[in-house]
Amino acid sequence: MHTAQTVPSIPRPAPSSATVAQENSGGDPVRLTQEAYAEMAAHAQREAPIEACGYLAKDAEGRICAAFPMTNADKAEDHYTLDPAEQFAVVKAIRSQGLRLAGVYHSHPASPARPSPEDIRLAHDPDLLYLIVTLLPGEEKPVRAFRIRKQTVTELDLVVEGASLPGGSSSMSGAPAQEDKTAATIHRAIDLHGVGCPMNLVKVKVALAAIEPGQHLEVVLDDGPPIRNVPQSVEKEGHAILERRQLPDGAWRLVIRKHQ
Amino acid sequence: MRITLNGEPAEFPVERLTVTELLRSQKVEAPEMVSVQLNGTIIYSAKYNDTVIADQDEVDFLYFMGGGADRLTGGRQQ
Amino acid sequence: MREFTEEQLERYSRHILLAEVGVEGQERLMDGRVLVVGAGGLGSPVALYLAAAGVGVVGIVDNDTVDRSNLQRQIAHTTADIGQPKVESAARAMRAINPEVQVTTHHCFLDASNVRQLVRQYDFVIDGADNFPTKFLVNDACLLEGVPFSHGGILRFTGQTMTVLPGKSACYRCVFREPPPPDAVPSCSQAGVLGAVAGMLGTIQAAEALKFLTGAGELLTNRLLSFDALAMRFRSTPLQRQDNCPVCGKEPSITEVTDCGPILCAA
Repeated sequence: MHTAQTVPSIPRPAPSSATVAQENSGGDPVRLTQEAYAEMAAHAQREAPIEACGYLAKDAEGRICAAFPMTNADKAEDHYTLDPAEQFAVVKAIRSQGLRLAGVYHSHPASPARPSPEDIRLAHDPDLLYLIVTLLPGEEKPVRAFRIRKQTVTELDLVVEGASLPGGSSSMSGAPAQEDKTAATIHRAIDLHGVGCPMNLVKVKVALAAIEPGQHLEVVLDDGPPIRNVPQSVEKEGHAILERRQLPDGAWRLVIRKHQ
Repeated sequence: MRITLNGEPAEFPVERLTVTELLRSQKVEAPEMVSVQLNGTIIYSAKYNDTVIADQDEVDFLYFMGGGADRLTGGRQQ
Repeated sequence: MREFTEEQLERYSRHILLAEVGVEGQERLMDGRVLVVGAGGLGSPVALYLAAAGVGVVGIVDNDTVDRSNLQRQIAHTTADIGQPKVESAARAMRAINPEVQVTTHHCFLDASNVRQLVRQYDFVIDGADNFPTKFLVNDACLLEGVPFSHGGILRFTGQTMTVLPGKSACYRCVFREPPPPDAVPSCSQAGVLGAVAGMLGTIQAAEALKFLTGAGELLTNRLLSFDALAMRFRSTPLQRQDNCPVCGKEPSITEVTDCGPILCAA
């Protein structure tokens, strides 16, 4: 099983399709759940302009059902590095949820969703899927799936399950986060790792004050008292918790919709 | 008669009392330092002798109170 | 929206946490202007709490200097301040608590010549005056200028307070038509006060000012709250505006402030 993977950390030159041999597989399409898609798209949106990256997990049916946003240790706009310690933690979390590692995703904030030479050169695991999300406006396919074996790139058909997207199952247009009804567009995000009670609630309230009614705030809260207390208080003040999910490191991700 | 005096029930063995008499009966030492509210209307001191309290009335004594109790007789902010 | 610094978030966190105050309420406090009349027993706790709350501008008017006999209850002043103007001493204490607050000191008598132009610069006034003529002067000026205020008074173990929204709720003159005759006012022997009673009453007034600025809750209007600390009983007497009030009644006879000294106003 894949544990720690060598990942690109070298600045990526402008992608050149001349160096990428591509072919359509014609085999079974990669199936992606709405939830995983939304998670990945939202992550890409909020990390922009730096690249977002993370792991993807699949269920028993081979469907990619969860995206695990991870830290881009490089915090760069044109390359990413997964943090090895986080990789172990995420793989452990994936297993503990009865899932299997399916692949790696990352975003291209300002270039198309196709592997760069570095992506190809540094893709060492032949069994993993490589999903790339682009934030370029007007891209026909904002998310694409690839298999990279021996420096050869194969694009796979991608189906977002339950998605009512224009242009068919593997042809998605427009910005990902706006296309998917379940993917709340995130208007502001705050990471409250290590921020205890009650300052975490103070920061949530300040962040909510900065967005418009009906807009969404993403919050990462520590496990324990923070996750037990903050959501309650937020709901008591009339805001809605749209999403609540535990992250691989034990912290929690909430999406809060500001009250109208 | 039974009245409500400062929010509490009070009973008097008479049918009528003037405000002055009520203040005296309640041993208010300095009537000049009290404003009297009768059924929601403030009775000013000039009318204490003429105002009659009857059964079921609600009466409140509202006392003048100063600030820091420093120079209560001062004519100016000090 | 105002950008809060990390220090401000920490300092005001206990306000921001309150649903009724929150970020918006704290912003309103920071934009608020409150005048404190008197830097004595009532004005001291009021001024300190307003400063601590981050009220944008706090004005203090007082012509007195700190005396050793003040220190039993006037907690904005210290032994080292004896002989100093009370407004300066109070301003120092306020800035020590919260350097962000802008304190405006008015070391002067409050009288008919300056009261209206002073109160109109503020959103809310705290009456912590130690004498009745000044209380009536503050009432009349606030009503004529339309500035809400909190009346407060203490004596021995008792205190009373009410909040006045000009034209909307009963005013001080609705309840007390004019200052009491000077010879009726308690003499020296009766004018003692338990120090903490000043704090009890002053903090109620400060709470009213903060509620007014933030819009939280219900103000102490059309009620006279009084308490007796000896029995530790509180009572709230319902009041209403009086049609015959000389300043806010139907036919007001007071349309301008006048210096209403104890001799002039003796009944």
